[in-house]
Amino acid sequence: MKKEFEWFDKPENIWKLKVYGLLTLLVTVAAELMGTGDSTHQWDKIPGFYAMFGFISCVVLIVLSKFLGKWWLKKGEEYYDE
Amino acid sequence: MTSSWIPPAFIFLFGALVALVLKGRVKQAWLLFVPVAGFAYVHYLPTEASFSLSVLQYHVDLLQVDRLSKVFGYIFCIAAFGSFLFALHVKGNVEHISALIYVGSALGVVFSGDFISLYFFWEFMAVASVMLIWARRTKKALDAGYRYVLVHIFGGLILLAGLLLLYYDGNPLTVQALKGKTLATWLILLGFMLNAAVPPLSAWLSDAYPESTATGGVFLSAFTTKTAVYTLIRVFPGWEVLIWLGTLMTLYGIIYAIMENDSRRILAYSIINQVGFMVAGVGIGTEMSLNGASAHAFAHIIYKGLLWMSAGSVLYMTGKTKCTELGGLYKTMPLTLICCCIAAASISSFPLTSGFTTKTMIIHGALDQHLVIIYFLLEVASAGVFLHAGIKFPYFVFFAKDKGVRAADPRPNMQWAMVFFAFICIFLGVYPKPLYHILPYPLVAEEFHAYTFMSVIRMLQLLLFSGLAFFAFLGLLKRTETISLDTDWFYRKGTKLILFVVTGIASLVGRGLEYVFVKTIPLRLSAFCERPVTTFMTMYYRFSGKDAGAIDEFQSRALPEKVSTVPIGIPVFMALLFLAAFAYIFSNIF
Repeated sequence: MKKEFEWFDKPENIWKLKVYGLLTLLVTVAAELMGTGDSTHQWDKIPGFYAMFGFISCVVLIVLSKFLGKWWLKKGEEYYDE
Repeated sequence: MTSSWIPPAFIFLFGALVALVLKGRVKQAWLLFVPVAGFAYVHYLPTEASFSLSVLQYHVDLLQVDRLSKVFGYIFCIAAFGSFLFALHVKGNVEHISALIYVGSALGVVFSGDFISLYFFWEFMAVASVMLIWARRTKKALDAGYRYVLVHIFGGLILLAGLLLLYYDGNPLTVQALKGKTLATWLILLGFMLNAAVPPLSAWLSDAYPESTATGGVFLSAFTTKTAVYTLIRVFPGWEVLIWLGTLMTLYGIIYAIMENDSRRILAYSIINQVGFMVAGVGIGTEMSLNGASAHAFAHIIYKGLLWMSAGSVLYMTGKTKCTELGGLYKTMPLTLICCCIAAASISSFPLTSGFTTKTMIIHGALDQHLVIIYFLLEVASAGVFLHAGIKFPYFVFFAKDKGVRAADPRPNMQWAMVFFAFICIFLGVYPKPLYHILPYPLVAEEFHAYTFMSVIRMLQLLLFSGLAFFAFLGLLKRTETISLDTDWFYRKGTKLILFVVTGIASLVGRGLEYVFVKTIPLRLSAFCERPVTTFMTMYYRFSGKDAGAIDEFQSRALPEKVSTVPIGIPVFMALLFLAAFAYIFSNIF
């Protein structure tokens, strides 16, 4: 039997992905410092503004939907059949 | 009237008729030929082309061509080609024929010159599309299909009510931008909003689309909501309420998509989210944002179709859609995974994909109008798109925990369809010029530059840090075997409540009526008929103020009916009296 492609199951590869991923994050923030002049809005002047904005937005969305789901909206799959 | 041109819808409707008699390879070739012919035809349609019919002294204008209708005409034909290629192996006529009618009706709406024909095509779309849900042949699909079609008929009736009011207010029924905020225009807007899946009128989408067939979902994702986007651009550009509703949609879709377990339902909520961007663009109403809404609809149809194709491939090969049952498929479905990731990148508007070159137009449009709050909310939504459609969907289906499900990539025709759509996603991201060239306001589009160093860096920051949030909070995103309540609760559970209340009231009223008309009145009447003289005498005594003792004494004596002689039988006399009364009542009423 042909051996399956299992690259993503190996812990050492996941470790590599994490390292490269974090490096990419750093690069995108560092790259912003190289760009000049294009800051028409006040918030553009804050370094890494969009990085923070993206992260915080997602945390808020995740937590909000978690709470909505847990306390109100999530029901068992048979809910409508009962 | 130029009779040399026909509405593009007719090509698909004729195609459906011919497909009925074709079989095998010839039918497959025909299904691919019809969209190609449609595309070429739309391309050569001149703006002065028209086609009208006289119905009951009224001219129905079935063909109105301009740049806006052409953009949607092109993309509907491309979407139809890709979707038919994906569904080419499907046996039987039901899905193919209804899909042809569905696409034809969508084109009919887009090229309609007046609201009457628009309305008819609108309803055709609902009826044709429900077949793609029923064709799944499960109890769930059947039920969801019924709800889907009922909701759409309800929406259609709201639209019709608006159109009738518009007509009686003395307005022409030409499809054009409506300015006045009257009951008529609000009703028309509501009808369009229902098809655009604006919450709270959106639950039909997330309820029904996931129950469609593996191939039907691809068709459904493209036409109904985008036809509604077209009508909004055409009829309600610059209506401010749409800015807020659109922004609400983007966030609503994300929050539900994060909660969902069913992979195809995640994609359904993601449609609501993406259409939100377009609706907001329509509301902003500048040339830039209307361009953006059209371009985004164009790009969206392709990448969302591709996402539905990859989910459809997984359903087709494994029979499963729930995230809790899937995972680890990257090992055996590489092509599906790659195409899915390209679509996921596009919907997240990664640079070099079609989402980046189109969605940024809408967001740019918001900033141009100094709508700072809207701008930031749309950016929150952009981050959230990557979260739910960009990572969550591929991650839980293809990676996450290996659930032991093994399936290969699907059939060749399905693979080719995915490659075709993936190619367009990248092509429009790298070289958006051809798309910008066909937009409603080409001059504005040509001045727009999606790619600047900072725009790319900022987008990458936004998206990659959203990805970081996903993995940092993976614990909170753990899948559960649940469904999420949406506004369809009101007609799924709510109807039971209403039924309970209504039957409760009805039984109370019934009992009351029974008491009055079955028990009390007949008993009194029969007592009266038996002893009319005594009854009259008693009443006379009461009214003339005799005391209770005198009445008792009178009643205790022998009753007059028993001791006196009456010329005719009392019952006959009473019957005559009633007949006379009835005769009098009827002769005066009728």
